[in-house]
Amino acid sequence: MKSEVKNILTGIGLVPGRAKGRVFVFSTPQGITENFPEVLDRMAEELKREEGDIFAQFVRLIITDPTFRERLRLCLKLEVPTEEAVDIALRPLVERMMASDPFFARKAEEIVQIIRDILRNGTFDLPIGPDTVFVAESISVPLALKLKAKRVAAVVLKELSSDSHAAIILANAQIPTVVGVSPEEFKSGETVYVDGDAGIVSRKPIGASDRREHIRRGRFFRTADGEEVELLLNLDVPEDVYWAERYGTGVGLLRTEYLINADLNRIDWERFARLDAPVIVRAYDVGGEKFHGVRGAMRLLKDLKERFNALLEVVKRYPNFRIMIPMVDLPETARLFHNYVTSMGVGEVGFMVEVPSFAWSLEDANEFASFFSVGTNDLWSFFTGRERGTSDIREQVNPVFGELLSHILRASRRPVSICGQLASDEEGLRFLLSLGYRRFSVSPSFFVRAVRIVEEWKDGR
Amino acid sequence: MSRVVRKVKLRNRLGLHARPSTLIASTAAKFESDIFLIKEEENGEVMRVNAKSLFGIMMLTAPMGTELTIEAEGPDAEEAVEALVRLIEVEKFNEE
Repeated sequence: MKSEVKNILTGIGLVPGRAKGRVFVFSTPQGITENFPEVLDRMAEELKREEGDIFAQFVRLIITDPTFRERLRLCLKLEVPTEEAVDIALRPLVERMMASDPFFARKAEEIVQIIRDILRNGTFDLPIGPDTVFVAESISVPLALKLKAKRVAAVVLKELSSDSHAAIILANAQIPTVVGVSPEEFKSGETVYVDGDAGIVSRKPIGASDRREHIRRGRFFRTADGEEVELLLNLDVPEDVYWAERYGTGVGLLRTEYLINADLNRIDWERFARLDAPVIVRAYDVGGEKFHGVRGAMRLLKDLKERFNALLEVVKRYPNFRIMIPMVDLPETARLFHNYVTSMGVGEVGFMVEVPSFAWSLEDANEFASFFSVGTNDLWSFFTGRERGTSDIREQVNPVFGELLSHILRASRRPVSICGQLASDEEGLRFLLSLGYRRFSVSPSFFVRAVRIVEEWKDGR
Repeated sequence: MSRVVRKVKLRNRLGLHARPSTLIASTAAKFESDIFLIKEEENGEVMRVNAKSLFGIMMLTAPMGTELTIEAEGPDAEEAVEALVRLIEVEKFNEE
């Protein structure tokens, strides 16, 4: 408990909008619900009413799944304790999904989370309503659905990733949400004001000056020494343009792997064009573990040529769009792409620096490039021989890797940014700032924290 | 009673993730017939799952480009397969 009651608490706005209401502090019960199968049936009945909500149907199908329920029934009949029975019933699915790609592995974790949540909380019969400001450590999908059904006024959480399903449910339901504020700051029953745009919670009405002070929007920020730093966003799919609009910045990396079979004309590119900031479209990075087949830039000029041309057509249409080529290995490859892209009427091209041979020979690639962007994950894995995703990201905060990253900065005569995951980690970002990097593209969920780290940054600590 | 078998290819961006799996299971559940999805693994092993079970479908862990066989047996097998083919290949789960 804090000894001093603060009037304004600063977090991060997750869902925009403003609301006032009475606090309900939620904490997960310690025990488990009795008669679990019956609770699941009641929950399924409730969810059935939300027919138009795909997440509600997803949860309903999980908890009514014939395979899962049959396994659960057998375990309970053998008097296995409920918690263990749930684990056993879920095991075949979870093991299979965990062994698959990281995308499915994350989904498996989410499914387990959903079931565990219902096991602890039953059907979430809570005293909440349209007047409630719901306060908790974090929330899962079933609880988010409950908050939506009860139409709570606002939500304040300590943690919630912006790309989780629970966050999407809150966003779709337009419930103003602030994350990064601890439940310990509140007492149930007190009245608070929530501002999801500014990312603040207050015990007094929020005035215009409070809002101005807290809304962190923009593309350029200054370190404590007054040096300018650029912050852009990494987006997985075009629908995520929402985050760039919210933070008033551009896109340092738009991934296109998921668009490879999509009709590019059906994407709302105009929203990107209106950003008034660069939008860097990275050409399909396929092959290796990211889809089958050979990995490497040259595929863009061979079997993927038609798809690549379609992407270039999009880039050509908007003055703030740039094309970026992944997996370039040598200056010669950069030259080929520069010539090809120019012949297609696209004026500028940038290159990912993620293959060590390209980092090593970067000086000779300057004349073909308008900019470079360092993909730290791949560069680290190719540099050290460690498989992608097998080591902790903080291992990259390492003087040997630092030397390579410094070399890139010295060798380049073009703007160099970091779009790798290292820039979306607190320690990683400070490491990169200490090496002299001043341009970054980060995950939307990290943007506000990145602004804070940059503004607190002083060279030489 | 009839038995209907059809092959389809997944063309949506993310393959059989949560949303498409939900749509397949809820579509399949509308029919009386027994419906299965079959996927041949790279090692030649064959996975055969109940199309009305979300867990079953997610067990396939099928990314974009995967070929699946839909098999239905029962009084409305023809309609069931028809509906699933439309969802997967024509509407592409309404994702794009």
